[in-house]
Order: sequence, then C-alpha cells, then structure tokens
Amino acid sequence: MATQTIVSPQLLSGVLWVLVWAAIFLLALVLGSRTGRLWREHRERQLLGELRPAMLEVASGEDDDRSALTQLTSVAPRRTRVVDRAVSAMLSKVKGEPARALAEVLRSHGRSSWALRGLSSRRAIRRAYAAWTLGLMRERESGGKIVPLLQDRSMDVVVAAARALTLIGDGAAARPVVRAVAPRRRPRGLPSWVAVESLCTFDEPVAGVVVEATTHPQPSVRHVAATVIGSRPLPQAAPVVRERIAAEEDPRTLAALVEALGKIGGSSDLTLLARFARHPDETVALAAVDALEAIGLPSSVEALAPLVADTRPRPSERAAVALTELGPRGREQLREFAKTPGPAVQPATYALQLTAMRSATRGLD
Amino acid sequence: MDWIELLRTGVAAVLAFVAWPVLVYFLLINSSYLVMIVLAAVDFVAYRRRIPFAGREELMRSRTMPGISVVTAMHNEEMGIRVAVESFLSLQHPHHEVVVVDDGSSDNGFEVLRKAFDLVPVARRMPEDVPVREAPTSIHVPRDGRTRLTVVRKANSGRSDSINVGVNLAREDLVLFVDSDSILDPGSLLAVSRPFIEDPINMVAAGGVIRAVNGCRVKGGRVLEVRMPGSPLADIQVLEYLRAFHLGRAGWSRINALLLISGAFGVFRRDALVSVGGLDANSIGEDFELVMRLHRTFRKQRKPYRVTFLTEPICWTEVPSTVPVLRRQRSRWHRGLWETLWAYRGMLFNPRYGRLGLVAVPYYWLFELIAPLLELAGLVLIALGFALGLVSWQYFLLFMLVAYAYAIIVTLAAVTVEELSYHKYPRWRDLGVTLVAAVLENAGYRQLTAWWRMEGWLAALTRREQKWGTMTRSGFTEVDG
Repeated sequence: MATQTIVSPQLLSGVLWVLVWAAIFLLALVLGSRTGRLWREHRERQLLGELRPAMLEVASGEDDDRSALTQLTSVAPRRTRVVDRAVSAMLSKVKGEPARALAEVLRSHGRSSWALRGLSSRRAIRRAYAAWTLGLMRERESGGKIVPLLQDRSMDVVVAAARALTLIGDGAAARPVVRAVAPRRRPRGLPSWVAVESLCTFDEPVAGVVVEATTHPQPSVRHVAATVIGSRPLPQAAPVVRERIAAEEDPRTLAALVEALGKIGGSSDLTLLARFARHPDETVALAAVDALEAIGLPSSVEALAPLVADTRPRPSERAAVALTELGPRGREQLREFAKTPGPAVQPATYALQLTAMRSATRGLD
Repeated sequence: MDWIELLRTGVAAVLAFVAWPVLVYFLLINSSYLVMIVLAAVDFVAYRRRIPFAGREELMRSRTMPGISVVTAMHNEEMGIRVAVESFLSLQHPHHEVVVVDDGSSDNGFEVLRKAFDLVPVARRMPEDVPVREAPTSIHVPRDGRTRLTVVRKANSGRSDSINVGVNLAREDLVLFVDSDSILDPGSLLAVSRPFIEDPINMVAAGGVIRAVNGCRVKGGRVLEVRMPGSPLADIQVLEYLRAFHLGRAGWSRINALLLISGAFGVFRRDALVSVGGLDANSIGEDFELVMRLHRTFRKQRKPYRVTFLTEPICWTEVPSTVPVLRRQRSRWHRGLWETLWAYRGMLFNPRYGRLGLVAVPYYWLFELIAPLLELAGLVLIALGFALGLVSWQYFLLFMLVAYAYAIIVTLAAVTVEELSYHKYPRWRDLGVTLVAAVLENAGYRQLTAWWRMEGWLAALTRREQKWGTMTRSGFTEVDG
C-alpha cells in the first residue's frame, strides 16, 4: 500500500515556514522590547539623576528661595519629557503650594498648551492624558473644556476627565459627572467610585444635583447619589432621603440610602431605621443597624436593643456590638440580655466578651 | 501477515476519515487561544496606559471601599500557616478581616495560631446562610479583641465545606477565597475590590491572576523577587498559567463570558454567594461549578450582574513540582470540568444565556473537555500510520513539526504579551528559560497531561471515588535579612 498524505507535504512545508517566521518575529519582539525598555529606564535614570533632589525639594514645599524650581523650569529640551513625567507622577500626590510649584514646571515646558491641543485629539489615549495633565495643573479655566470629555466614547478618557475635574474641584461639573454615570451611548458609565469622589470633592454646592440624582431611573446613579449624601455629607438632603427610602427598589441603593440617613439623620429617624433593621434583605438590615449606631444618640440604645434578639445572627451580632459602642447604657442593656434566657443571650455575651478584651488591652496600653 | 494488513487498512480508513477534522480542530483550538491572547493583550495595553490616571493610590482612602473578608481553609498546614495569616492581616486595605477555618487538622496548626495570635474562644453564633456539613466546634479571636482575625475549628469535611463555614462567619460585604499556602501581593485586596466600587450594583464576582511562586524569593509571606522555578516541570506550568489562566481568562472577561474564577484567588459579593448557596461541597469542580451556578441563577432570575477577571492583582501559589502530584491535580481538574459541564448541560447552545450559552460553554465542551481525547487520538493515529508504513518518516516529522509549531507560536505570543505588559520576570536568564520551556512543553509534557486529563474523565464516567491526595509542597525560597 502506498504511503498516505493527509495534507500535501508542500502545504505543510509552506505552513511550517510561515510558523518559523512568526516565531522569529515574536522572539525579536520579545528581545527588542526588553532591550528597549531597559535602555529607556537607564536613560531616564541618567536624565533625571541630578534633578531628583530639586523635584523632591519642590514637592515637599521646602524650596523657599525657588532655586530648585528654577532648576526644573530651565532644563534642556531633551530632558523636559522625562522631567514632566516625573513631575506629573508627583502632582497627583501633593496639594497646595507644592502642587502649584510643580504645575509651574509643567507650564514652563509648554504642557498646558500641549494638553489643550490634545483635548480634541483623535487618539483616545492622547485625550485622556491631555485632560489628566490639565487636572494635575489644577487649571480651573480648563474645566469647561474637559467637561465634554465626560461623554467621550472611550472609558479611559471619561475616567481621566472625571478625575481631572476632581482635582480642579469646580462644582459646575457636578451635573455632567452624574450624567456620565449612566450615559446613553455607552453600555457602561463612569465608575461609581470616581463619581462619588468627584461629587464629594467639588468645592461648590452640589446638593441640588445630588438630590435630583436620587430619583434617576438608573440604580447606579441613585447609588452614587445616596453614597455622596452620606459621605460628603449633605444634611439638607435628609427629607429627600426619607422620602426615597420608602420608594427605593434596588436593595444596594436602599442600603446606601439607609446608611446615609444614619450619617445625616437625627432622633426622628430612629423608628424608621429600626424598621429597616428588620428588612428581609440582610444588606439593608445591616446598613440600618450601622445607621442606628452612627446616629449615636442615647435613644439609639432603645432602637438597637430589640434587634439583639433578631433571629438572624448577623444583624443581632452587629446590633449587640453597636450597643457596646453607645456607652454604659448600651453595655448595661447587653448585660441584662446576657442574663435573660432567649435569642439575645449569645450575641450579647459575645459583644460583652469583645468589649472586655478591648478594655483589658487598653488597660495594658 | 493478514492481521497487519487488516490493521493497515483500518488505520488508513480511519486516517482518511478523521485526518481533516482533527487538523481543523487543532487549527481552531490554537487559533482560539491566539484570539484570547490578542483580546487580553488589548486589555493589558489599555491597563498599562491608564495607570497614571487610574487612581490606584486613591483607592486606599476611597469613601466607597467595601470591607472584605479573606477566607481561607487550612488542613495540616502547621509549617506555613502563621506566616500566611500574618501576611493576610498585613495586606493593604482600609477594612479587611481574615477568617481561617481549621478543617479538622491533625497537626499542630491550630496551636501555632493560638500561640502566635493569643487566641481565645468566644461565644459567637455562626449564621446558617450557606448550608454546611460540619458546624464549628469552637470560634476563636485574638485576646486584644481588635485584630481582625477569626479562627474556626471544625471536624474535617473538605475545603469547600470549610470555605462555606468561613462565608457564614464573614462579616464584610465581599468575601475573598484564598488558599492558605498562597501568597498575595500587598495591594491585591485593593485591586480586587476595585470592580466592586466601580459597579457596586451589578458586580458579583471577580477573579484574579494566579502565578507560580516556585523559585521566587520570598520573605515573611511576601514575594521579593520573581524568578522562574528552575525545574522543567514547574517552568512549563508557569507558561501554562500565563497562557491559560492569565491571558485566557482575561480574554473571556473582555467578551463578558468568563466562566471560571479560580478558587485559589476569587472574590465574591457575600450576598450573591448566599443567594446561590455557596460552594457545592459535593462538587469536584468547586470554583468552576460556583461560577456556573452564579451565571445560571442570575440569568434565570433576570437580574443584571457582572463577573470579571482582573489582570492586575497577583496571587502566588506553588505549582506541583513532582509528576505524581501534577498527575493527580490534572486528573482532578478534568474530572471537575466534565462533572460541571455535564451538570450544566442545559446551558449549552442555550440562547437564554447569551454569549455564555452560545460561545463560552460550547467552547469549554469542544476545546477544553474534548481536547485531550482528540489530541491523543490524533497522535496515536499518526504514530500508527508511521509504524505501519502508511506515512513516510519525513511526512510524519513534518506533520508533527507543523502541529506543535503552532502551539509554540501561541505560547510565544503569550510570552510576548507578558513581556510587553507586566514583564514580571526581570532576569535575562528567566526569559531564556521561558523560551526553552515554550518548546519543551510540546515534547512529552503536553501529551502526558492530556493522558492524565483523560484518566480524570474516565474516572468520572466510571464513577470512581475521587481521592484528593496530598499536595506535597516543597516550600518557598525564603531569603535572609
């Protein structure tokens, strides 16, 4: 019988050659990439070497005679790129006068005009870096030009724009930020935490926009609003929160609203929160227990005490631990529970054990 | 001889019949890996570019960062448990706790922890949110009442059941499963929490990158220097982890069809875990089964949800360095794969599950489950053809070269993506080892693992009892000073 050929040897040989060339290409890419990276790192170290002390001096606010700043603003053109990169990395970590001084370095190297031009670049990454650079320089007058990028098709650009606006702190961007959380054109919006940080940092009143966002059809937007109300905090939003709590359907947003009420509410909210502590969704129930503790009034003890007997171990344990934080009255209540047979015995005993251990350590301290 | 002639005729007929389908299959499987790698590469490049403005430093003080419970089960891990718990406790996160479940250890593991953390028993009640086989016999916390550590003792009932106990006792919103012999990078908790603060409404689970710790220099539960293991068996597994677990899963995640989050490092929203009943203690494919159940449950309930894979956080784990341990592991993995795919066969080509049902699940059936069978069958056939003189040795060689050259290209592509993105292995020597391993993988290792996977599948089909065996650890290379 003659030998079989499944595929013609010529075809196999051709394919093998293609594969061999592909392997050579990938090998060259790996080696070239590593060599290039090491060379760039070495060069950057060289170029930055003697300038690093000056950078640290400016960033730490110790450049009283501005000599370090002068050194940085007058570097040779071949060094500006690496200096700008290092300064940008520092700028995101400093505030106040050092931030202003570092921004001056970038401006002296023409980064401001570079960034403004970049806002309309066709490359998403260029737009993102442009917005971020303007944010790092805290260029308040550029805020209006960055805002449209919150509706950009690239998520990187949206995030960079929102974070830049956060650094600038212009509250006029609050509404576009909220809108970016649930965009019409993209499946995903601005990450929740970025929006929350922006809305909590903006220096102008944002309460109106945030309160309005509590009724947004998208739960992601309502969640951001609820979190901001509790985190910023916005006490003036309390009436709206009470109203929204009754209507909210999304359990995580409801939990955020309940938590917010704990931070901005008062004694009149204890009954409402105690009711939510019995909510079938444990996330909501736990948020309500935390809220009762956060209100921190003597009357919180009365609201929390019945919850220690909750048949669900997590809310009951959380309520018991919360009572230990509410002073002698709370602890006295727990001692009563610990003595009386019933579902409250174990959580009360556990919470008292924890308190005793903590007190003993404090004593050792 | 007649029977040889008969065999020749038979093999020739089979070769003629299956040769093309097998070839197309090999082409498709390797191309699919390549596509996954390209998809992951796009993600990696984007990730690297956005680092300056992504706000990683701000995560630590973010107002929205949820608490996270690090849950780990230990069974006879006296040697490394103290360092592991210390390193888990020292991870960067504003609000995390560690829950260690002692799964009926017969060694002094618990005593080691008791002494190291001055543990005392407490009267804590375990919620029964997730069903468990063995309830805790005692619950302990450090005497200072502040260190956020809980150590639970219970009778031996397996890893999944122990993790479920940990889930019940977890206080935080998020639960991270991690093996007690794994090492987490300091910023891994922050990174793994990130998807949950980006999309707190819909995100239910996230998986992270797992890499081999063999050969790395470790000190006090921290990886100080990343190195290749230095033993061919482990070197090849480094590449496998990179190609399949890192790049493969990143690719699936990019198209929103991630089916597998490794149990060695996966984070879940606690309420989502509770809603699906936690890990199935009867399942061998524990982590895979859990993610499939999450998908099925949320899809059936028509609830919006997301499962994602993070390319950034790093969990380091020891990969098997001996053949028997590797054999048991691969056999168990494949058995788990089969049992889970079979249990969830209703998802196959089911449009109700979208890309999962129409792309990911069929892919797992076709390219993960059947791959070893077809690979071995193809090899046997071509070898038989060669032995019986049906194909010439030149042709045999050419055929094998082409078949495995494509596999090498796929691995090289994965190495290239790694080098262009994270370049975790800084030494030139390690790069050399990686490249050699990419070739060596195809000379024996690949065929052996295919055989072991078949063993696992066969064991499942014949309903043989699963024996977990012992994962012999050779330990990390601890450095002084």
